[in-house]
Amino acid sequence: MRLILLLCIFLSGCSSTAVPIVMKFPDAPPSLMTPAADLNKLPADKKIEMSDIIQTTNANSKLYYELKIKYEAWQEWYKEQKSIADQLK
Amino acid sequence: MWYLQFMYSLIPDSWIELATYAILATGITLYILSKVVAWIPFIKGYKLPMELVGVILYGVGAFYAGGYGVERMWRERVQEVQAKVKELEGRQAEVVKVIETKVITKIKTVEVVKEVIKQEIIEKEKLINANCDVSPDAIEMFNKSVTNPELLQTPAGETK
Repeated sequence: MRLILLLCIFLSGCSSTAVPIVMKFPDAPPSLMTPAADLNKLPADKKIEMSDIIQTTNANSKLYYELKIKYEAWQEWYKEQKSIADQLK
Repeated sequence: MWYLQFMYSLIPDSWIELATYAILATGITLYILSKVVAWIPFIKGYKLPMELVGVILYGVGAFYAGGYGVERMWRERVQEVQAKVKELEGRQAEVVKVIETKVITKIKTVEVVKEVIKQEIIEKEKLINANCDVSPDAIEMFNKSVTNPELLQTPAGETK
């Protein structure tokens, strides 16, 4: 009886081994890592006409829509990567 | 200490398992024999050392058998998790590729549309500019409106 008890104590003595396995942090898509550009201003060295204002607005809205695409892509990237990482738990 | 672990890793698992169970079996056998020799007159003096050695070997064998069992369980678990991690890392890379392609395609569409609008403005330039003077104040306000607000803000919180 004492031997069986001793056996149980010894056999359960090594059950606290921790195994650290780390999943690589996911890369970000390269196109999302480019810095955001400043908005375009009207040139100070020429006579400004209405067409210049519309051109500049058009160029600025292009920058906005590019950033909108990247912003939405970051959200999608996060959601997807989180759902993948959650599967490891 | 690392070289001991290295040397240990060179020994095949089956040998370690065999040695562990051999120690355990020897311990049990010696313990049982120690009870038997107590009845045999000319070797009954060996009872105590046999019992002691038997219990020690039994303890050591049980400890290593338990440790080896846990180790084997963890190794299986590690292999299982490593395979899962490899599969998930592949999926992570796939997601990055898909998003990258999507972003490039969408940005290209924006560029094409904006270029068409730019050309339209150039074509209608004379019509747009006819009878329309832009005041210097309007230009100044426009430039102010597109300037990064962080650059316009003074430390006191006032707008420049």
